[in-house]
Amino acid sequence: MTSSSAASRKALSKIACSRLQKELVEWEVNPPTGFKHKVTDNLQRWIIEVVGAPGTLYESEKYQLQVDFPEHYPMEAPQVIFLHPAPLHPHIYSNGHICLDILYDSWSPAMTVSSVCISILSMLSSSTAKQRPADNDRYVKNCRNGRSPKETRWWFHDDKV
Amino acid sequence: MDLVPSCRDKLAYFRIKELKDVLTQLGLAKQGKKQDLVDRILALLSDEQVSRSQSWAKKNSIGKDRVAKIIDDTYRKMQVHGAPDLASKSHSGSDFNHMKPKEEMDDSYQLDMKVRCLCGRSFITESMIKCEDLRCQVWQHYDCVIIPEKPMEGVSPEPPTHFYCELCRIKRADPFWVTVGQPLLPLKLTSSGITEGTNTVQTVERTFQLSRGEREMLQKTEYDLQVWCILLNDKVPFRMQWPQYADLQVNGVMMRVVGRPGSQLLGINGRDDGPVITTCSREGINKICLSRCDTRVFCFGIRIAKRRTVQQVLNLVPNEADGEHFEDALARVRRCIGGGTNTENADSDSDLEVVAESVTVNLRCPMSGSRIKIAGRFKPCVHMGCFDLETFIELNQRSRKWQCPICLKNYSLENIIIDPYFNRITSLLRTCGEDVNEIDVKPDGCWRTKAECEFWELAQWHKPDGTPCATTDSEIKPDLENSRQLKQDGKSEGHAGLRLGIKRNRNGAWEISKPADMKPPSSGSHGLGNLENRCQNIIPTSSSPTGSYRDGEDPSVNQEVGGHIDLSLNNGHEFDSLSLNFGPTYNVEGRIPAAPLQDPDIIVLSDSDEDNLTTISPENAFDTGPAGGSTIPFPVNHPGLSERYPEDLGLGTSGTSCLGLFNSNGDDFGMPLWPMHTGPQTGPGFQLFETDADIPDALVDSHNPLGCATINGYGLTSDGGLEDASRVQDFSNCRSSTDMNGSLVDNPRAFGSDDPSLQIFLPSGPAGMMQADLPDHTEMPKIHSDDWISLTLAAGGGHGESTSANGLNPGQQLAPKESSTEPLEDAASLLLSMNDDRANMASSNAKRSDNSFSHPCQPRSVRPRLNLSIDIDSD
Repeated sequence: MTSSSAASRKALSKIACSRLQKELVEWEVNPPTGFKHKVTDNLQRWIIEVVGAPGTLYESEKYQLQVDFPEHYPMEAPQVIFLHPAPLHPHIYSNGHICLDILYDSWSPAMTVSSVCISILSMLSSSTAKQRPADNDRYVKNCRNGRSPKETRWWFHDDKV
Repeated sequence: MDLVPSCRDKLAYFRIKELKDVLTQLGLAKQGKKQDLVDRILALLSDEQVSRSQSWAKKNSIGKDRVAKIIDDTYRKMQVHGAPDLASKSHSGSDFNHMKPKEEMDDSYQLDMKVRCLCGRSFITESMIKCEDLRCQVWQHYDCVIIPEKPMEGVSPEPPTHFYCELCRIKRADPFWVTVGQPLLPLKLTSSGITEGTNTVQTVERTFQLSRGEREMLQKTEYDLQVWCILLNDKVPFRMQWPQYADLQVNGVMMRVVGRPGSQLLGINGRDDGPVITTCSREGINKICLSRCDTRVFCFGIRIAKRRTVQQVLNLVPNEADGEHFEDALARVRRCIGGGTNTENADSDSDLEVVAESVTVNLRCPMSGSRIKIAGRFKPCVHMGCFDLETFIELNQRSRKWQCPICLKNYSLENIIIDPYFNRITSLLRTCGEDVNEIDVKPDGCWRTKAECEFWELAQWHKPDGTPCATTDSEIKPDLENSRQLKQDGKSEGHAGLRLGIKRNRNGAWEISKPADMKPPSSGSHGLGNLENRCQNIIPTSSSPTGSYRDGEDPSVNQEVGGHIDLSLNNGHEFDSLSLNFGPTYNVEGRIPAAPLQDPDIIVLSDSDEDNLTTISPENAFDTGPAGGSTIPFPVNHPGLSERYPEDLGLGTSGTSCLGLFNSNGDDFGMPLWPMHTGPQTGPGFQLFETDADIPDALVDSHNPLGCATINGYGLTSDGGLEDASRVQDFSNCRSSTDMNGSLVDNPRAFGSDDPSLQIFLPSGPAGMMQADLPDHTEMPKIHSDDWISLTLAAGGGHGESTSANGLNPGQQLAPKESSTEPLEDAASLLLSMNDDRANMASSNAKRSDNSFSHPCQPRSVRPRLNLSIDIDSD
């Protein structure tokens, strides 16, 4: 079943569209520090460049986030993954999937792309070791057919990193 | 059609015994499963059933009404019978501890006691639990419906804090559907004895009947036949949830049950849906088959449901007056806004206390991002955040979450109310432009719009109920008189000690509050005439001075405004309204009403100024600028400001120069302008701050540095390591101090000496810093000097140009200022290199000023920045 990936292919609802446009305007006026939105004409998929925060393991390293919005955003969380190459992080799989609760169970429609970005950067910044998750290989293998991270039943066990 | 559902409901409560009684009275067969008995009775109630059934043709004499009456009688008998039983048992059974006392007192409910359990039996046992729904109140067997999270031997699970029967849960899971009939009553899906291993596929098969009437009903678009399923002990009570690997067939047709993979569990944030089987159902007997592979206990059923429209669901939300008392809403707002302040006061040793006279509240709906039209909320929530009711209902039509977007708690539609406090505000704002999204709210609940809007009065403080607060005109008027005196006095020396309190606001921005020990307004400062004029202008514009300034301004903007205000304060005007919340608010003594803020100030910097007032204000502006940091500020145009400008122009060059600066800012993006002119390294004093703020990275982090910088500037702390900004600030401080003419009472460094003080000061500590910084900042001083007459005055002692500066001619001022700056440059070799740039800057400034004249309406300003020039002069 591909609920989320299928949903992301559906056109945005009217509410989702207007909400995203507002977010984009807000982003342009006040982008989160360390992030840059690569301008495209696709409102439903944002590519965001993130620069590792100074003083962290990822200082000055640049990565790209891909944010796909489902038809019923913001009621449903956007799908957020790192494009290749994904940063080495205990909660980021080599296929770019991110184990972060707010992207799944703890998503709230009150969150925004901006707040999600800040959370991801915070997650990066608090890392103490550059390493892949322990089950990286197994998980990535399971996702070979292009499975969306939103179809994963995540288990959020680590609140330190 | 009313007859069938009501009879069906009653039949649902019947035990086999009652059913047989009814069947006997009707002369029908009594054998078969319970469901068969029920179906048999129901069949009598539908026309087509009766006519179709051969064997019953002769019994047509039994009218439907009679059948209904028999059912009704039996039902009543059963209840009368059951009531005494319950009464005797309810008091002895410890399991009834979940019952609320008031319910026990309610006799009517006991007489009405209904037992309807998933087990299909309606006898009363010792442990029963009652549905909380006021219109349901059905009793169920505790052990049948309360499923422990983990199986426990011999221990009865804790009763839930709230219990709703499965039908009431389904009703709440999706208020867009109204149950009108139940072809298949709720059926409990238990796992087989083998609880280990989810490999066992279990299948349940049932038949259900649809009458012709029901089929016809289902032809209508707003009716559908839906299969529903809930997990009995779901943590989210009001949602559907299907078992893992659920596989549903209706009349042999496979139905897709959930969108997620069969192995995937439903997350806490997820919602399953009930498949609509209207199209594959038929009149008469239908077969449904559900297989699953899950060890948990579910309950499923089939219902005929009628769709509600968004508007119909919206109508279910109680009116504003009925949902919550206004006083309760106001109390919540006061608690949410005022509560934080109390705790802060208790924690007195924090340097970063927030001093807030008001709190900014965003009126945007978290779902839509647009301003709330109707402020909805879940009544049990403790926070004051609201959402737009219509957006929320509309989004939930599909998502079925009924989850507070702010605190993520799960509720149901019946918990939604209209927030009487915020709804009044959003109603009043309804005609405002889309850009009005924020209000300031005082701890007492008074509010005003933060953004400027076409409805000027909304920017004034309003009482919680939405009526405008009384204005403070009476206080203001005397001030005006004072200011006039000041003008007349012209260059009379007035020293006003200003205290600067720097605090950090919740945004992380530094606020400067000046509770000032201002000397009487009569001691006007020279060259301040401009300021005075401004003050006068300001006062007339707004009934409450603060209101005018604050309206719609970004924090940064406010700060700038604050600077202006300070000037006016120096003149002796009292501004009560200046909101402490915003970064730099300067309180003049006269203002005092706002005073509480003053006390909280952590850092107190006192400046006594003659002219300095202006300089001080600029400093403040800087400080605030950093605080505002993230917002790049200047764009806002205030009507009040525009009015001021004309007068300023008339006053003198200094005023004009200020205006020019402002104008330039206004035209450009504001802060960026300065850096642009100066060149990369140039950071005009104030501008320096600004430039820092402009730097993207600095935006977030900048607050801290800035705050430090300001502190250093004042001499409280001397850190060599400070950033450019800090250095700049130092300059500004020096300037201010110099300007102060010894008036600096509190200032540790005590610049006491008049003009010379500046010279002394520079060498003493900051000097080194100054030079080092100068390369970067050299431009700053010049610009400032040009702009500020007052600055020249301060420096004036050294250069004597200050007087000229006082002179009204802008052109003259520029020239002297430049000269004054040059000496400084000489002092620092680095500075020399900058000179050219400075000159350019000056010219540019002049141009700007001209522009400003031509366009008085363009706003405000950033005048404060100009102060830096004084430092240069001192050198």
